[in-house]
Amino acid sequence: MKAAVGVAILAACLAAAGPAAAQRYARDWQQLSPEEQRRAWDNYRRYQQLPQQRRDMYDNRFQRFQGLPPQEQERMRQNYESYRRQDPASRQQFNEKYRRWKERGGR
Amino acid sequence: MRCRTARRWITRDLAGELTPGRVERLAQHVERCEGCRREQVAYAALDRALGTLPMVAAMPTRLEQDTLRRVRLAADADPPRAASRVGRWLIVTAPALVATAALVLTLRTVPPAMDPGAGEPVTGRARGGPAPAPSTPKRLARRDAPPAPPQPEARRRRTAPTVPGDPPAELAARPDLFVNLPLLRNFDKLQHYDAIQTTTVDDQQGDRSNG
Repeated sequence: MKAAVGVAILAACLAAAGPAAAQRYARDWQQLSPEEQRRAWDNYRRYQQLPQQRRDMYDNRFQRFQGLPPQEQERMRQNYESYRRQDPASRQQFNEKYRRWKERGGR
Repeated sequence: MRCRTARRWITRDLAGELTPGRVERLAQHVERCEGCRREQVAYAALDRALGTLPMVAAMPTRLEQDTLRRVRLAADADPPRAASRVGRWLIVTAPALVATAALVLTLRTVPPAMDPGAGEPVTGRARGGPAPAPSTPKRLARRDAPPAPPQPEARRRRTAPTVPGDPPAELAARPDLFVNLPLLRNFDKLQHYDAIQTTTVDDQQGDRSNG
């Protein structure tokens, strides 16, 4: 009985820790730089025009992103910069590799 | 079938509300009636044009304020009896004037909706509109493309008006979501970036050749 209660408490703590971890690195609007505010505003207006299904997809991914450790978030930002700076041929090759990687089941 | 019926059915057909049997009958009529054929082409073009408009047209605050100020000034400037007539007239026409101005501004200044980071307008399908033409490999490649390179300042100003001092609640609540929207669009790729980079595509060609 005690073990069951302990497991239940542990499960509740873990469930609460997820959102808490997600909120840990959240910033306020005022903490954004003017350039970030401009980008956020621009993207917000685009987001408003997306169908609900696509908005939900972004919301889910954002939760996953917020749940990552800061260094992992930073690594993804750096990867995005690398991805963004690729010339069209390199990007096409990367996307081909990505399709291949997906076909192999992400291995 | 009479042309009158056919033209009623043309609009219903574009909305996808016509039964298959009627679609067939309409097609037969349109095939031999040039007037209805022209009508169908015109309606289809209009439908496509409307499909590219954003769902919500943002009314510039300045235009709204200017219009309302002019309405008030016009109402104040007239004598009482005339003012009552003008007032009634304005009540009826002011919303139409404002709506027309907004539509004109939308058509002239609002760019097509963009999927964040896609560098490509959101299609009618994405907003629940009619299905687009079948995708080509080129189109697929473009969908994977990251955001377009930074635009010139003048163009950026046109597409992104001044950031409000008091942002909408949704934006204020999760600003990082919107800052990182292009990144979130490519979430999977960026999370496994290194693994993808080391993936080879050579054996894929081998797989294809082996059937």
